Amino acid sequence: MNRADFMKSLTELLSDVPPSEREEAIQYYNDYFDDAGPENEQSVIAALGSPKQLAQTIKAGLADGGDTGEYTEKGFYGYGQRKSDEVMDISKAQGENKSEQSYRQAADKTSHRQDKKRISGGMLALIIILCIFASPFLIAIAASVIGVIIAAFGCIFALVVSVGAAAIFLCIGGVCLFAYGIAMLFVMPFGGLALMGTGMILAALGIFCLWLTVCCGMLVPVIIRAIVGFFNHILHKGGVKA
Amino acid sequence: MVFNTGAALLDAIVLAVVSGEPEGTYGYKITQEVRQVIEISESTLYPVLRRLQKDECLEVYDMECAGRNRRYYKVTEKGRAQLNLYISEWHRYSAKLNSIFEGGLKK
Repeated sequence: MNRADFMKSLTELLSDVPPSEREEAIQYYNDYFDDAGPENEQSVIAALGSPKQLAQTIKAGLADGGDTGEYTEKGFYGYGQRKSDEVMDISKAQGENKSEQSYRQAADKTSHRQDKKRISGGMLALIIILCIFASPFLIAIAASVIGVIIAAFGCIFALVVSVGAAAIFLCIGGVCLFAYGIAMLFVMPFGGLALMGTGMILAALGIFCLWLTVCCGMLVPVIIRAIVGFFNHILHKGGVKA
Repeated sequence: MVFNTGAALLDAIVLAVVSGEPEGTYGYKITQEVRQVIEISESTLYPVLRRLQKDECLEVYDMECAGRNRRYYKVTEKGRAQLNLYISEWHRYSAKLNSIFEGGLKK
């Protein structure tokens, strides 16, 4: 690959950046080749890497302003990529006679990781033992929690049923009153009208209660799930603490 | 090199190199001078120069040189202030590190 191929390829790879940015970069690298001189053309191409890598570096600089990564002797690295290279960098920099140290560092890292696992295993065993010793206490808690859940469920159920019953009776009463009002209309017109109005109000209240019942009926599973989730949460926390 | 160079430190190095040339200097020369002190790849400098230019720490101008236009970079007032900030921060930082390193070696 010569300079012309390199620059042509780079221009194509930068086709998706704003034209002003593209021209800026192209001018910079044209200058760069000019200043390096024709005799260094191949070494510059080798040092810059492939046009694809170079285009990526340029785009990365445009995208984040260069604040989310670090520049190393190997170029730009995002923070996510960098970690795996660090041990390699150290061993390279210290040379072969000191590479033992970097191995030790790597080994330390591994054993540290194992320590972490061992600790968490030990903790788990401890928690299990504590759970066994605390089981009478836990059973009492579990029983009371179940009792509370059943009571809450009962309350909700009773509420729904009573509102539903009220709805039915209000509807029936309203319709009856309305009919009675029509009958009374012929005997005492104003009294009849009042009775009809009252009947309509009662019927409306009944319909409202019916709507409330249906809503509650739909809400019940949601509420139960929320309650169960809440107690689950508490029980879980308690278990960890115990 | 054992220590990686963070974005701020690289900004400081580039600003220092460019400010060393009152008439301004150009990309290739900046790259070579920076590479004398820290090991970075040749493709690293362009995004840094571009960012410093956008942050108005550097200004560019084109000047005729050997029959072609060469782009020159020059430190602005803002860039100079930024460089002074970096230098004073660097003194604080390196003094702290030195006190730890030298204190640690005495033990």
